[in-house]
Amino acid sequence: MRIERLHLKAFGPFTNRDLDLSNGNGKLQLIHGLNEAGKSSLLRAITNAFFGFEPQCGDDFLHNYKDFCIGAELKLDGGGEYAFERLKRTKNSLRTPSGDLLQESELQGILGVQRAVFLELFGLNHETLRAGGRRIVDGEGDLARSLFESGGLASLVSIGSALNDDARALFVKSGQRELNTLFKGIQELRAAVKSTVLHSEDYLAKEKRAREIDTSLEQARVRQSQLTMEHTRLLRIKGNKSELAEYDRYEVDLAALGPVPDLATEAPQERVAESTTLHQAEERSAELRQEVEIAEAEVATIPPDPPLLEFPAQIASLDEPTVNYRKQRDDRPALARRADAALSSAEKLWNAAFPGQDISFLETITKRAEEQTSVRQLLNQLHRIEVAEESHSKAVRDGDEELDRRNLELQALPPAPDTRILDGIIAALPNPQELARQMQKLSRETDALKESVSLQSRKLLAGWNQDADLLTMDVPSAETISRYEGEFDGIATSLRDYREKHRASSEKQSDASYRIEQENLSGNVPTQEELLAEREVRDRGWRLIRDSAIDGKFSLADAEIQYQAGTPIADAFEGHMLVADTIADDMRANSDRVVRIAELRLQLQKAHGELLQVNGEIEKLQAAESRLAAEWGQLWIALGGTPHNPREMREWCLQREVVIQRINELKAKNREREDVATVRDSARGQLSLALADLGEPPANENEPFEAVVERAKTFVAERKSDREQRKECDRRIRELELKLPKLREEVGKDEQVRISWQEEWNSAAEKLGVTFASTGQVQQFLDKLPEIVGHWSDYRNLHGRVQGIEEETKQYTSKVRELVARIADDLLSAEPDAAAGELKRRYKVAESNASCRVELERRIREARANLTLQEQKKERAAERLNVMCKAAGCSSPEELPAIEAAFAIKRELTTKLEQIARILCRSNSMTFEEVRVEADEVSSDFIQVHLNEVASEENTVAAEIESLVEERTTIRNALELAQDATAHATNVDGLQAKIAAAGLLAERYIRLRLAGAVLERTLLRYQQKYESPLLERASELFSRLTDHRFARLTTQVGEDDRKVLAAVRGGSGKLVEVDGLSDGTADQLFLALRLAAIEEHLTRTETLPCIFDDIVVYFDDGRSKTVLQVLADMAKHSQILLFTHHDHIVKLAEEQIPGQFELYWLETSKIASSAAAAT
Amino acid sequence: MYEGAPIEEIRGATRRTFETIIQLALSERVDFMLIAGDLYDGELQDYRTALFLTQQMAILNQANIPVFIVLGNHDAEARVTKRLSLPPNVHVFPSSKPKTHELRDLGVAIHGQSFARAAVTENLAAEYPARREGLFNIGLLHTCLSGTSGTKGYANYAPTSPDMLRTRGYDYWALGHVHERMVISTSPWIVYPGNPQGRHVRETGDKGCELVRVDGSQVQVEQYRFAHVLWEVLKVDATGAQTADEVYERVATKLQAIVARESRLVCVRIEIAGSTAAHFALAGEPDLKVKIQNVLLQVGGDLWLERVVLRTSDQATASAAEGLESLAEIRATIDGIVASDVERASLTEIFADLDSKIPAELRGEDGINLGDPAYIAGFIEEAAEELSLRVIKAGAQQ
Repeated sequence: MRIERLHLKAFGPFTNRDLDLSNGNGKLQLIHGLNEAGKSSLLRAITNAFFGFEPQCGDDFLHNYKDFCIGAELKLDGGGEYAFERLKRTKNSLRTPSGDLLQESELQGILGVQRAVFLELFGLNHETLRAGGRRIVDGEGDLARSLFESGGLASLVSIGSALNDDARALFVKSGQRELNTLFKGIQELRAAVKSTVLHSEDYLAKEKRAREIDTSLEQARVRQSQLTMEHTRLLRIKGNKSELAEYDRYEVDLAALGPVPDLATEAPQERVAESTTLHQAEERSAELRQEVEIAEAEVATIPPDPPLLEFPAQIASLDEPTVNYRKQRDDRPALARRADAALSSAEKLWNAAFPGQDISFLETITKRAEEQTSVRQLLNQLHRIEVAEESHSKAVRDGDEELDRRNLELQALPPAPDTRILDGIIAALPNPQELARQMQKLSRETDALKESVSLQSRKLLAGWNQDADLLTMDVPSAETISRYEGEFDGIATSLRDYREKHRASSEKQSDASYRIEQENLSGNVPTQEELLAEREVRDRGWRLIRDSAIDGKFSLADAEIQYQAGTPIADAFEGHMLVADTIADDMRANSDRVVRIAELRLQLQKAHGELLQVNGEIEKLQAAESRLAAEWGQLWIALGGTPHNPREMREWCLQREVVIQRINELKAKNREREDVATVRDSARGQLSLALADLGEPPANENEPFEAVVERAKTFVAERKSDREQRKECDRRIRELELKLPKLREEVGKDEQVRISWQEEWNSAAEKLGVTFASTGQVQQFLDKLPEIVGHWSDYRNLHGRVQGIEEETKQYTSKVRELVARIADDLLSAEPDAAAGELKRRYKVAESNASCRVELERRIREARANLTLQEQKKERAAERLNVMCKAAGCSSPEELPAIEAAFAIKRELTTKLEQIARILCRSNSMTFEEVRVEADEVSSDFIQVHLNEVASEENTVAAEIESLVEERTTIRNALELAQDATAHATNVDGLQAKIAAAGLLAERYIRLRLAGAVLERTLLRYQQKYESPLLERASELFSRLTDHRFARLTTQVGEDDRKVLAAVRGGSGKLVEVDGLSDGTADQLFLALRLAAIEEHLTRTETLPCIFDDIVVYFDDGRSKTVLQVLADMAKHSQILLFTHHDHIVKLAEEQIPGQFELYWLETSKIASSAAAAT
Repeated sequence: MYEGAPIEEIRGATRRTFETIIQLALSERVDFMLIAGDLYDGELQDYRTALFLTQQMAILNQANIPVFIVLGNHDAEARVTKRLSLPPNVHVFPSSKPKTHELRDLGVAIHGQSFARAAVTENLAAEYPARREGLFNIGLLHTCLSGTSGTKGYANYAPTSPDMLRTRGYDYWALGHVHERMVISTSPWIVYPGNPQGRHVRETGDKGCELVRVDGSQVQVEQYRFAHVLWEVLKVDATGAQTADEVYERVATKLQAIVARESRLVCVRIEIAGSTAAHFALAGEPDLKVKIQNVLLQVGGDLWLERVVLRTSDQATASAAEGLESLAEIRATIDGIVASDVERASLTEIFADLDSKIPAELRGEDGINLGDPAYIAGFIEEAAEELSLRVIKAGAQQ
């Protein structure tokens, strides 16, 4: 395939440039251009035309990406033609020259190679030639493989390495890779599953033993119950025997008292009460008699009632008038002064407003309301007439003045130029302030973004490698981070759970230990001996009480000293009785305590087991956590430090995205700023031209855009203002010339109106009776009139009130004098208000004396009635005491206390006997007779022996029960634990999960290893297939390119049994490794290898144009000629384009291959071809 | 189980389903229950399963519902079976010879024989007793029935044929061994009820038990479906899809149909197949399972993704790949390996290290067998896929 024509419509430096290569068929096509002429761009153009534009190719300095377009016309090996155009699109970028879509696969089918292969083989410049050659040298020394690489399969070796790396990351024979870890985990879990299996024989054996224990335990408990009952019975009998002996002793004491009459229980209290009543009644009678005597004496001292008590209403009625009388007497002088002042004010105002006229005319004029209204209306009308006259006169004066001013102004205005063009430009302008604001805003934003990006980048990489490139660095995906986060969280949760279990088990263990300790501490079990000793103390107490209180052998105080000095004997006795009962209860409780201790020990053992298991799990989890942390760290190797946890790193990634977004924003802002600047500069140029056309100075370079715009606007505004002013003057002059004659007519009309008004006024003033010299005086009089009327009215009211007070004072004085004359003539000479006060005081004294007398008489009556009652009480009490003496069989009340004391002792003894019998019946749940019979069954001498035997057997049975309970609890717990399948299920689940994961991973490993093996074999095949012909052809070319200074190429075995490429010197046959060659010779070697590979490739596929860009730059003229000859030979079979910027290469071509090459001159403005002279 | 699996639910599913069967028996007041073997897995050593069975049987015992059981190959293997102490309502048929239980009140005769060992190769049915006249005769048998494709892949234990069963003259054959439900015949009735709860993704679809009603000579067989957890293989056709997102949308659509249908847990394996331009995007996606899991999350419902199987082929890029000489060379190498026994045998050597470390749990009939060239060759296409993908990616990067 050949390129016939290239149409560089828009790409890099080219705009609508064509390159016609159709005339160079069979010849080397030499394209000559100076530096920057576009040779490299042409190579990229051809590559992009074939394989599509790369996303950011950097050739957009003249044309936008969206405008890129390269056309090509190809001639195929089979004779066909293919024309296309390539656009820069994400899809559908290939089309025919007429615009129809073309399938990408069609062009790729013609080319037969990928972009990488094309660039590697068919689009070489000096740089890629050397780089490829270096890869040959560095590529493991295996020529075939290196050639294989340079033959377009460059990535296969690295793919093989990657496959092996990926496989090794999963599994190695000895190591800690993912699969190795899983296999180990499977082994561990297999063992764990085995350990948690519940074997049927174990379970059934335990279950059987549990049943046997239940049976034994039931039997032992029956026996224990029997023994407890017998023990209780013997203890009961032993206790009952002492109680019964005490009972017998009380019976003897009762018999010794002899006959004592039975008294009512409350007899002593009744006796005391009646005696007290009798005594109190006698004392109260004496007190009452004395009270009567004192009251009667007081009554005698009170005087008889005076006559004024018969006039209570009249005296009381004096209260209010007295108050009024005083108030009016006080107010009257002030009221009289105010009346005089009001009269004076009214007269003063009247005389001032209406001089010469008596104030009595006031009454007349206030009645002429209509006349007042008429006069007021005429005054208002006069005001309006005067305003109209003034207004019309002023309008005429102003009109004349303005007319003169406007005419002068019109003459002074200058002529106005046409500013419509400038105005149009200004109207179309972008707002300069807005532009400036945008520029400022964009500058601020770009500065802020720059700073923000820099700051955020530094912040983001703080603590890590600061040189890392945020845009291109390799960071794990969000899914990977989430996966690790899940794994970390899972481990953390499990750790938390196990630590909680650890705490719970520790608490259980501590609790069980503590409770065992407590049980042991409280285990001071009292002995039988202690019980008997305490009961002996108790019995001794009772004997002392009996001997002192009943038999009277000694006093209670002596008994207390003998028993427990310092404590009342009754309390001490009761205390010992309680202690004895408590000891008996403690002994019964002991067997329960033993059972509890056994259960607690089992709990302790179980908790210990749980703790061990939990510790193991925690250790495993911590190890897993460490492993995970190490893997996690590997993922972030690009950062050059240890990453934070996944949650924080996800946040870090988000921040990185933000920074990248900011960088893109910054680029966009810069572009935006440039656009705004362009718009501003264009507008400035237009304005400057328009201003110059209007005779204004154009914008100079230092004048800011805003100032130019402002100047233009001011200019336009000023001219517009001139036009508006002229127009306004014309309009106003026309208006004034029409208006002034009309105003002068109005002035004439005003004079007629004033004459009519004067006639009406004269008539109205006469009717009102006020004929003043001027309308102003009339107005003043009417304005003052309401105030004068007000003062006159006040005077009239106050004068009336003074007269009223004088009348009321007269009436009150008369009333007081009349009452005094009737009931207290000694007060006739007193002032009325003083006489009234004295009357009232005398009435209050008389009223108080009368009331006191009534109260004393009531008290005398009550005392006399109470005296009678006390006498009756005395009689009833004496009668009751006589009845009591009769009942006790004595003659006087004084004998009664002795009889009552004897009866009390008898009653106490009887109570004690009943109490003992009741206690025995209740504590034994038997009748008293049954208790006595049971006590008689066992001899006191042998009872302790029986008790000891029973207690011993009880201890044996309790120990047996404890042992059985312990064993049963252990087995039950084991069975219960066994039924709990959680641990087993967890292990099974874990095992299955690991098996599944390992299976998947193993399959993945198999795929990777198999792929690696397939690749190895492919490379081997290729080596076997192509090595020899390639090396042979490269040898030929190399020898030729070096003018046979080197005879051939060969391979030799180097270190690590790898093949190493070497050149054989002509003549000496000495081997020179590639690193030993000069730069130029090495370039020739690389070129030979490439040319051989190209030739080999072209034998198998469609021919492709080969493009060499300045590859002979380091060759001397001789070797350059040889290269030109080799290329010219190759050009006979396929299209060869050689770019150069050296004139001497052209000259060398003219010398070496005349007629075998076609020369083209490359300029960005044109591409011309001219046939080289073939000499 | 796999990472992220709803372990509790899947683990408890079989027991929950068995409990449902017991509750069905109680609610339907059945006269008796038949179990045709393989109550346990043969490798089972854990007695807790036996305890669970005992508890459930005790429930039926309290309701006076007898249970008749023949032991299958797995039961015979299981150590727990020998130790089992079941309530009196449970009748396990002997393994020495066939036995008949007559339920005179119901007019029913039940014939059966248990497996004495796992590998019973005799035709047990041939020795089953003759029909008891006047009664409804039931044969309870654990067998691999010939003449039907449904038993393919199952161990050929106690082999017999439908014709042989017919010769017994029974009215109903309750068979066990095969995990899929199959009604072999309706005259007489020969029925495999299948296992009531799928255990993994190879046991898909709803499952349950058979409720048989007999009225005179009329037999009505009703299948009750109540598997606690459902296993499904969801096939998604990616043909013509241009992008991976488009494929995910198709997956979502299919999943939505399941969610609309099911309220219980569905464990789903998603198989994506078809010729699509998104092939390399999907195949090159390192977290494809995570992506699909995200789709599950968006769809909602009670779903768990068991696995994603990608069987797509490339549509457009295949043509580009054809142009790659390296791929042609790789294909030639693979063809050479496939064609040569020696080549294939030599592949086992590269896995010797792994083979020595593979745990027993991963080996076995369906497991990893690295000593077998055919097993390794089974991965050759996947390896070719892996290689193609990497070569194309490398080309795209250049």
